[in-house]
Amino acid sequence: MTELPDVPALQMLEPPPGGIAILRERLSPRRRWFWLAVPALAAAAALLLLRREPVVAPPPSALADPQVGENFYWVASTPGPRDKPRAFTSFDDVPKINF
Amino acid sequence: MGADEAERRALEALYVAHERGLFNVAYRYVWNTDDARDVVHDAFVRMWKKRERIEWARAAGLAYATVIGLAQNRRRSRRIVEPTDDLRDAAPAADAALDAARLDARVRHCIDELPERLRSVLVMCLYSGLDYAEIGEALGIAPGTVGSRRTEAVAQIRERLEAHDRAS
Repeated sequence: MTELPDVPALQMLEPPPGGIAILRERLSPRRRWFWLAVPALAAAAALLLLRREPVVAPPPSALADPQVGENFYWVASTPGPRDKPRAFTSFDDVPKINF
Repeated sequence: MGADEAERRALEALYVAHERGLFNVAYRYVWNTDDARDVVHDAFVRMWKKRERIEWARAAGLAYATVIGLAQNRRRSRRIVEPTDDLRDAAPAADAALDAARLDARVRHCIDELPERLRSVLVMCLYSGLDYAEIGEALGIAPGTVGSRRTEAVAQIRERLEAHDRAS
């Protein structure tokens, strides 16, 4: 192109040798083995997670209540109200009713 | 020979026929030999993935269009070290070699400064070996537009070079 100066920036360059070999390598299906590593690693990570020791939750804090019993502990954070009526736990405890 | 093997041969034939032109087109975007070769290979890998839709006998224009698109992306994705007119402020030219190097840097800068619609046409006209109709088909413009944009690109480069000469 005579309208532009003859400088290296415009001159036709030769591409680096071996281009077709690199292209064949990039198109080769052998490259795909790498991607098989991804699901394999994921499966190994899942196995490791499943085989871990279960985490034991710490025992709940308990409050000693010597008024109820020497070894009695309230599991709740605070004892319930003392004036609550007694709950019946069996039919023997039910008051007799005369009809 | 299977269909896949036939397509592989057609792709390689296209690569061999146009490697030089495609490399030179990509080089004018990225100004780096390794990047330019990578861009060309990326383009062929991309074409290979879409091979069912490609008519290899008429795929040269598509190869150039793909290379230009990928070269634009790569150019945007990294900062191109552009030669600037700071060379003008350097020590006065002591010999012809330094003058030539400065002119080369200015021409490269002028190509970088061209709007994309002119640069793509100019580099394809310079390096692809395709005619105006084929370039127009690849870039999605009329053959007459290829000619007018080529003329405009050359005029812009010449104008900037002359403006620089007048300023210095």
